[in-house]
Order: sequence, then C-alpha cells, then structure tokens
Amino acid sequence: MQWRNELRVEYEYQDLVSTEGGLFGKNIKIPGVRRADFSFMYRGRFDPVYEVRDKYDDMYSHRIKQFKSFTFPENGFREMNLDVDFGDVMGHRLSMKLGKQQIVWGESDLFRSIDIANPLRLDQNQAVGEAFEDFRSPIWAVKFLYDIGNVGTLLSNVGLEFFYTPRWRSLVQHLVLEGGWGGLRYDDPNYIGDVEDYFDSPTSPGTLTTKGVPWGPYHDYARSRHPWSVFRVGRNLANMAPDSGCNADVPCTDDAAGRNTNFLYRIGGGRHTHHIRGTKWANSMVGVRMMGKAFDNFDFTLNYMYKRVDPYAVFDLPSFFGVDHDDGLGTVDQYGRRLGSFSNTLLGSPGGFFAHDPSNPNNMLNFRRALDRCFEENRASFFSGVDMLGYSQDGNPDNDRAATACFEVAHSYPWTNVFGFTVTYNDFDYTGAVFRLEQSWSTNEGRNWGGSNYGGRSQAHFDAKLQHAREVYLARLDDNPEYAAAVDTYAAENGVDRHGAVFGAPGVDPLITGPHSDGEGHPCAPGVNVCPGKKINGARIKQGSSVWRSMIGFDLIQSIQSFPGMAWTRGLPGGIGDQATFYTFQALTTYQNDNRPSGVNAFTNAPRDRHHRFNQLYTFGLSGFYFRGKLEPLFAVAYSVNSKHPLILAQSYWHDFLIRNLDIFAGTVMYMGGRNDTDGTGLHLWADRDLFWIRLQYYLL
Amino acid sequence: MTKHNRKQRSGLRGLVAGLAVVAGLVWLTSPAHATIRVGDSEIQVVYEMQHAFQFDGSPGDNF
Repeated sequence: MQWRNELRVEYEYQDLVSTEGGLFGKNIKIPGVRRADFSFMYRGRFDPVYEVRDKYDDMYSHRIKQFKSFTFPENGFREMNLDVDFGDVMGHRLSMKLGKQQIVWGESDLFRSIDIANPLRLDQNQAVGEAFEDFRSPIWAVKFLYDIGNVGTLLSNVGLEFFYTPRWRSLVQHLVLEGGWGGLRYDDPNYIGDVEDYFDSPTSPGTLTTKGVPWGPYHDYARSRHPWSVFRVGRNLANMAPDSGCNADVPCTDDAAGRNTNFLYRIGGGRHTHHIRGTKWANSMVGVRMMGKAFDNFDFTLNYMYKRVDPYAVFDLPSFFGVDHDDGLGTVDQYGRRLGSFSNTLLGSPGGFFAHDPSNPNNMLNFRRALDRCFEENRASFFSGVDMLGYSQDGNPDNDRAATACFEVAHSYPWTNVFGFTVTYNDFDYTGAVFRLEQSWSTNEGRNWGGSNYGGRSQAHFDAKLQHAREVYLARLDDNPEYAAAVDTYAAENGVDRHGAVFGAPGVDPLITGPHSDGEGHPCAPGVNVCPGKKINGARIKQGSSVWRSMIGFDLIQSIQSFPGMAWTRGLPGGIGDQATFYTFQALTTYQNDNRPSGVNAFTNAPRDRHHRFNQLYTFGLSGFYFRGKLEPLFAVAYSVNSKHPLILAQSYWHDFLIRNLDIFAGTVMYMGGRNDTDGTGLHLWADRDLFWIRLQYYLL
Repeated sequence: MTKHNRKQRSGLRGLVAGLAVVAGLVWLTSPAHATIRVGDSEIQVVYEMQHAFQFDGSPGDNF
C-alpha cells in the first residue's frame, strides 16, 4: 500500500535572452545567443504510510538510512533546463538544451530499446501505470540540435542531434530489492553481525540460528515485501534470487530437508559497488542521431549511443570453489563439469571457513572473526553449522539449514554501442494508420558465465582466464631472482618447464615457496602459489552478449462506430461511439545473442536456455477523450509469450471532476501470469501483485 | 521511537526548505521583467495524492 502526496511546481521564464531586449529585456546582448529560456520543475513526494503503518516499522529498522528515502522519495528539482537558440551557425539553426532533462528517443512505448538514456524510478511504481515522463529520472546533460532542413529533393526536416552526459545513471539506481539492499539489516552499514544474535536451534541442535532477519525470507512471500520491491532474496528459486544452494541428492524444492546452505549476498554500499555516483568520465554517455523525413510520409531517425549498460551481478564463485589447487583446474566429472569444492583460498584464510564447534574454547572468537570477514570486509566466507537466515529457529525441522555461504557480489557495467533506427510511415491514402518500426542492436550487455558446475564453453572461458592469470604470474617470476632460480632448478630436476614446476604436472608436485599474495594485498593460503584476487576472479565469470530489440507497431485513430457492425455505438453516451478513438499495437522482440544459463536469471534478464533467447511481448491499447474531453480512459492488454504472462491495464482520468481544477485518476493493473515463469520482460516479478490506484490531482495555480 | 520521530521531522524540514528555495527562485526572477502570469502556463503548481494498493488476487488482501 502506498499513500503518496506530491507537490509539483513547474516554472518557465521565457525570453531570458530575447532578440528584442537582450538579457532580462535590458539590452544586454550575449554574443552568439539569439534567444534563451529557463525552466524548472520541482517535485516533492511524501509518503506517510511508512510512518503510520506498524508493519513497516517492523520491517525496516530505524537506523537504516533508506527508511527516510521511502518516506521522502523525492524532494528537489526534477528538471532544470536552459534552452538556448544560437540562431544561424554556418548556415543552419543551432540550439541547445543544458540541464537536468529527459532524453526521449525512439518510437516504442514501454520498451527500453532506444529510449534508454534515462533511468526509471522503479521504487515508485510497478512496470506500468505511471506516465513515462513521470517515471523517467531526468539526468544532467547537454543536448545540441542542428537543424539542417532540406537535403536534396528526397529528404526534408533533416536534423542532427547530439548529447553528452558525465552523469549516466543505471536503470536500477532506485531499486527495492529485499535481501539485497534497500532497508534490510544486513545492508545497514553499521551492522557487523553480533555473536549474541545467534542461539542453538530447537529443531537442529548443534546449529546456530537467529531470529533477527527482518525481511524473513522464510515468511510468506507477499507479507514481507515493500510495496514497490522488484524481487527479493528468498527460498523460491523460480522467482527470487535464491537464498540457498541445492544439494545434488535431494529435491530442489522450497522446504526439502537437505537443501541446506544459505546464500547471503554481500552487496556493499559505497565505492566499487552497485552505486553509481558523481560526475566523471567513467559515467559518460554520448549519443548522436539524425532525423528527417523522406518521400513526404516516412519519418526516420538513425541513432547511436555509447554508454554503460545496466548492471548485472557478478557472484564471485571462484573465491569459493576449488579451481586453484590440484593441477590448478580442479576435477572434472563425467559430464565434463567442474566439480565444486572449497578453494584453498577460502579454507586457508583467517575467518574464511568457520565450523561451529561448542567444545572449542576459541569457538566464539573464530565466529566473530568470520562474521567480520563477511560483514565488514565483504569477503567470501563459509559458516558450517550456522543458519544466518533463521530457518532453523521455527518448529519446522524440514526447512532447517545447517550452513551459510557469504558471497562476495560485485556489479559490472560494461560499455556498449547501441545502434538503432526508427521509421514511421503515415499511410494517409489507404488505412489512415501510422506504422512504426524501431530496431536496435546493443553490442555488449553483461551476463555471467557459470564459474563452476558448468561444462562446455563456460568452462573453457573460465579455464582460459585462469590460464591467463598463471601466465601473468610466470611472466613476473623473474622479478624474484631467488625464487626463479629455485623454480628452474626444480624444473630441471623433474624434467618439466616452469609452468609444471610452479603449478604441478602429472607426477610432479608444485614447488611451493611462500607466502604469496593474490596481487590485491591478501595472502594466499599456505601451500598455494597463485590465488587470483577479486579482479581476476571477476574477469573469469564475466561475459557479454549482444542484444537485438525490435518493435513493429501501428497506431490508428478512428471512431468506434466506423468499424463494421459497430454502428450501434453511436447511441452510447459521451460520444464514445462517434468521437475519435486511438488504437495502438506493438510487437516487441528481444533476442539475446549469446547467453549463458545462470542462477541469477531473475536478475539479469537471462533466458534459461537457447529456446528462450527470443522474447516476445505484444501490446494493444485503446484510448480516447469522451464526454466533451472530460473522460480519458485507456485500456490495454499485453502478452508475454515465453512466460505466458497476460497483463491487463485499465485506467481513466476524469478531468474537472466536481470542481474545475480537480482531476481524478484511477486505474488497475492485473499481472495474470504464473509466478514461476521467468522471462526477459520481467513481468513475472510482479506476478503475485496486482495494482489498484486512485489519484486526486488538484491544480493550485 | 524518539530517534524515529527526529528523522521524520528532519525529512519534513527538507521538504519545507525545498519549497522555500522554489519560492525564492520564483520571487527573485519576478522583478527582472519576468513574465510570471499566475494562471498562465509560465507557472503551474499541482498537488497530487495517490493511494495505491497492491494485492494478491483479492483487493482485500493488500500488502
């Protein structure tokens, strides 16, 4: 439930500089500037529901700073722009818009294909229901438009547009993700884990468990969620980021005993994490497009953008699993998959591996050290005999869990080139419809490669990256002449090369001289020469895919009564039958060129298999103005093919309701899919939550 | 609870301060031959209140 109060002030100062009077009409001429306007829009939002409803008090402890951003999600200048007309520059008109703005490219509705410059306020809305101009988050940017006009006899209205921003922001800048970040105890920067929070489990004696996880992943899915949360970490593998790993020999279902290792994702705040902050080169985004009109009724644009893509998570599995021991690559099973086993890096580091043992006098001290490693250092650690998510504290022994893996999670925002074009065709002569086409090709969007337990190309990629790390290590061998000499002697004695001497070869143990470090300041475990650090491990599982997005659609304006058999609607009140009604249809296709299966499908927009690389969504809507323009309804349906997910949207404005300055706006969105069907549209993320809203909008001035 | 209330007040202060800045900007530019015509398109102030209910199947079962 949400109770959002919003105050909006829109202000425009026209003719800040004008041709007649100069700056402020005072005859102060600014060279090169013909005309300038200034405008801003302030928007403040206040949602007292978080103050008045006890449920949220329980869910979000007050020391968490995000709580405030739920109550006051916005308070500031949403848009602020200086529009400058430079007049004729080299024969054509040049204008500029500088400020916090929305850059709206493309012809599609509800589809992030070319309309990708601005992020969306995902923490203020579900997928549909709000106008996109209110949904987008403006960003600071400068945009130039060079109006060329006619080119030859075929092209008219030709223009070139260019924009640059050093403040790119990701789509998920405001994402409510329970169990990830956004108001949970583990996201509290002050929380470092208290030994006192843990007690012996009543149903699994010998296991430490806890009560204090406010988002309760073991609770009913719906009951523990923030109104606008996109998804959460929980026990249902299908529509949540999994909070546990499956044991190979038990069923991988919700409450199967033996599915016993909790996953805890450490998504830290601050630098080097998912937060994108500041004005800098690394946050650059640049775009250029050419638009024009051809053959009188084809409008086209050619678009190009160079930007970072929205983040995907990198789960640092290699920091856990044993790929840096034995022959260096670990054991392969009969299917060619790398078997998971704990890496020496984890086992050998202080706090990396904690096994609960009450008989050990240092037990709690070791526990403290491991908690610090997980919560303070954000590094991989494993807790045997500790259930950090509290599954073992209730009376149900079937859902008990006996271990917790604390994962390092990083996010990656690779650069991508987005090439696109749009065409609209006004078919005046035959159908009266406007046909729309939009195509885009994004060259590199982030995906995970499975680090272990995958065979084939994933494994080959993974091994190649490890091989690279070793070559770097060998190339640096001569930096330490003493060690290099020892390696050479050992190699000669055993008849192997340096690689064999350092990493081992059939029948030859690696020559261990230590201690070594991972190159990022952390020592390797005893007996390990190479332990790749976070960066190299990250590179080992990162991979990109190019993505093609396509929209084909049409718009038609016609009265309902003009369709065959609909003449009877003429008698309907308010002109519903004979006023113009607007129909719009879209076929939206996304194709993932090179995707890998991954345990984080729900998050990375990744289809599960090759068959699901194609993702199709169809939308159809109709809207109009009836009752002398007072009633403005919109009905829409959408269908996502892969997840078999229908969606129904019904909303209506009633302008000047009762009094002149009051609009009433109400609507509902029904997400009618099965909640277990994941696909790239993301609709499944809302499959368990339909929406109804009613809004009163009063124009004060 | 005390801490909780303090946070709420500081948020409200922020809102009031934001509005004061807006009012200041509007006022500062007005004598400089600005064309703020109340009731015209140059300035518009809108207040909205929205109640949104998310529910699972039945509207009575809202979150």
